[in-house]
Amino acid sequence: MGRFIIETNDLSFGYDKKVPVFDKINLQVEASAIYGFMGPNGAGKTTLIRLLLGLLPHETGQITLFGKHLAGNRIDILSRLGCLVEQPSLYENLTGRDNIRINCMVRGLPKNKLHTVLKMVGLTDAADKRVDTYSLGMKQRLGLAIALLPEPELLVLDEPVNGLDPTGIIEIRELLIHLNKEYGTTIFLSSHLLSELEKLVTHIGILRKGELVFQGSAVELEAVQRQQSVVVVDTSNNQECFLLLKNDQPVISLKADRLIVPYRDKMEVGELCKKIMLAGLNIYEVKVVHHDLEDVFMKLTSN
Amino acid sequence: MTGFWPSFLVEIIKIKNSFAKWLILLGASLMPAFVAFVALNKWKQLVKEIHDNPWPLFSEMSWKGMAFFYSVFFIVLLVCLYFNIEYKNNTWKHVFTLPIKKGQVYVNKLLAVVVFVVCYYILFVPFWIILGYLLGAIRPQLQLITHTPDLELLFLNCFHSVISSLSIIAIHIWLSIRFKNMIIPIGFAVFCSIVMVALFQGGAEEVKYFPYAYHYLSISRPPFFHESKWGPLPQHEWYSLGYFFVFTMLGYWDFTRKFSGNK
Repeated sequence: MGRFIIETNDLSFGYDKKVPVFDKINLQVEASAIYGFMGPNGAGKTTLIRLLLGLLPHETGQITLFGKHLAGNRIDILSRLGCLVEQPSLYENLTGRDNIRINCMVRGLPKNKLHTVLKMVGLTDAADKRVDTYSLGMKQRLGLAIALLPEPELLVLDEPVNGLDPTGIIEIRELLIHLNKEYGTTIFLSSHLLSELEKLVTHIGILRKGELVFQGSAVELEAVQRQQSVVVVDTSNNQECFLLLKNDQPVISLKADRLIVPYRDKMEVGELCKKIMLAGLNIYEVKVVHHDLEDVFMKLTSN
Repeated sequence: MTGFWPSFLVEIIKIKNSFAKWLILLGASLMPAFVAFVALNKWKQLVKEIHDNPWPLFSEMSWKGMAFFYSVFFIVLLVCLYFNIEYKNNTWKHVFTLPIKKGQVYVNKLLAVVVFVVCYYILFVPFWIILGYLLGAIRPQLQLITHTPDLELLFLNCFHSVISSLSIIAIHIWLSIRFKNMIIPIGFAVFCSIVMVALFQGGAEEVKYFPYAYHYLSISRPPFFHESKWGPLPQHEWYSLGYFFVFTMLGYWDFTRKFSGNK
């Protein structure tokens, strides 16, 4: 098996051949990574997840999981992963325990696994209640329990914290981090909760209108974030300061009566202040504005 | 690779607490209960019709009631409700992400429906006998207590009914794969039942090619028309097996190649 647990090569797909959902996607998910997959509604996140799981047929490009082509190795690949696609798929006429039991039977797993996963997601007490009496959060936990059942090498989760309360979100986040750290489980998850992804992922992919506009590690994303950080300066004469700095700074603007200067590092901020003061101007305010994931996401996904 | 038995048993477990399970129990008990109720009210008229053993009359009333519309619609409704468990719970996508071949899923579902129909007929037997004796206890004039039912004929009727059911099972499984909306297969069955009545009323021998009439043809005494027997089965039951084979193959093809559960 290569470096990547999930790899797609020039993967294209469209429900209608004339209107592709995405075109030539090259997704690369490293082993033991927590890969956060982001994109606005309709970007194609769930479609891509469905393709990775073989729920949709793809005509062009290749999908490789665990170093094996999905076409021709579907059963072997599916036995090594656990997944949760959109809303959890549960038999509402059965109890939570029965739902897990039937999955145990199909996967040929011992019964004691049932108790382990119920405990992991905190559903032991509600296990014998019918699923149609569960709240959305409880259903989400049960769906996650089913995904965790085979002790998968890869977890594919589509919006895993959907419907969970803040405590539930924290618990699931900690559980996923624990699985990743302790067992080296690779986790591929999509979410629209950017703040959640920021706390969880080691790698990130951003999809916009069927195009992968960013893919890399959290460190690489931080570099992008840094590139978009600015220094906001207010002086006794901003117009004069603008003319003073214009020759030295490649990008500089005057917005809302404040000077906006690209941020590189704190040393450069010191040099900037020194230059303004030497010109005889008073500095009223200097602040560094860092962009969070949301700003980066908005910038990357906007036209 | 998942073993056959565990994945097949899962299909049986799926109807737990569902209306499909209650339909099997209700379906098996309702017709003998209804016939017993009719006999309870019209016992004087029935006493005149009894020659020696009253059980063949009770049997004929029950089986004719079962065969004409009742069993056809029981099977149609059962197949629809059973497949609707996956549609309603949005679980097809989960089924297809389990390490099990699509073909195996199809075979398991087909066998599960056959088992449900066999259970329906097997449950019918004790319900029918109990209600017969209960009727005899309430109306001793019917002499049901003093005689015994012909169990061999009872099980033979069950066997032929199951063979006749196979054609409708395969057709409606295929329809349930093609159409998510269960109204379409039910509507189709209603239409076919009207055609069946027209064929019987017209005395058309071509009814032997019409699967929705096979239940009645199997238990009709005397036979509706002279039909040659090929081996242990009459002609129309061989046709039922033929329909079963053709529609099972068609369903298998659709299920393994195109079906995603989103239609």
